[in-house]
Amino acid sequence: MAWYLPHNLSEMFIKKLLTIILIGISISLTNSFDVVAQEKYKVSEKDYANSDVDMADEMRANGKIYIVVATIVSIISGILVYLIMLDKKVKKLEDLTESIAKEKELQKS
Amino acid sequence: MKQIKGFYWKLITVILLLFTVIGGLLFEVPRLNILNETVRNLYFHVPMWFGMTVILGASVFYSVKYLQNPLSKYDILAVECANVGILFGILGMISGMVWAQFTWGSYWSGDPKQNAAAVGLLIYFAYSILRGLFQDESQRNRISAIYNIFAYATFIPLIFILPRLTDSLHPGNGGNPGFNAYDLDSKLRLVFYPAVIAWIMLGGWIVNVRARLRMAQQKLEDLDIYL
Repeated sequence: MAWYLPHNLSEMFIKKLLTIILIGISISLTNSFDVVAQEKYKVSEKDYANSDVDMADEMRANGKIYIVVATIVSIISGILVYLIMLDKKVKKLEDLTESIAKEKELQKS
Repeated sequence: MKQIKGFYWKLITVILLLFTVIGGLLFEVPRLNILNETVRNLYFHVPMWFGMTVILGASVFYSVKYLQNPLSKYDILAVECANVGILFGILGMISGMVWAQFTWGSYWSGDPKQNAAAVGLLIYFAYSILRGLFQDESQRNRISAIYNIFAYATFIPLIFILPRLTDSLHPGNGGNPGFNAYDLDSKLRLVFYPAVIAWIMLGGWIVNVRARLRMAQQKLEDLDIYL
């Protein structure tokens, strides 16, 4: 293991370590930019109770929001089912390719 | 469930995506001026850019891999990642424009982040065009891999660092008093983090299917079978 054999660090390990450190630095840098740029508005409990701001309360009260949810969920599910079917088709093609490759190999030998 | 490669992570993607939509529309959100109900766009518009960044990052990863070891599978993965990244970018752009119309007052207000994102997308369109220019395959793969690395290195400062140094309408950029940076609270995070993961994984799934299709095609071509 690398930590008790520092002279024996593999090149790969150093590269990975460097990558992680660089990513860490860049993430902390972007966060510090935020702090410099402006003060953040903290969302508090008050914002949840603020009835001065218009929201779709009526839509929620009479339950029509569920129609929107149902519509979007059905569209997303439809697209996902399509993607799953496509995935299965690709899998079949992969298997077919594999078997053709094996056959050709056999023919050669 | 052997019919689907990587069944479990794809199942998690489906669950997280449905959670995002249902939770994103139904869970309580803070009542904020100007934003009103549109704060829910946080679960759909923002993850597009997160997803784009991660997937384009993956694209660069495969480009570097290709340059280290020129196997065509790395090239295919790099290209498909870039394509899905561009798709996410376009969707993020469109959704952002619609959101901007109702919160900032116009579809395009020349906001530094909007402009930078547009320039970034153009850089990636150029990548797609560049690939079409070459006759020789290995030359195309090598040059486009190098271009891809430079494109990403330009793109990240362009959309994440430069807009923060000037005044921007986007939250977290500059000192804009009209639209503060909202520090997400736990209720928003409850949906936002799964949403980001869900959209990134969906992008990964699309890359996975498209890249496998192209690899199978490549393999058949290597066997002198043309579809």
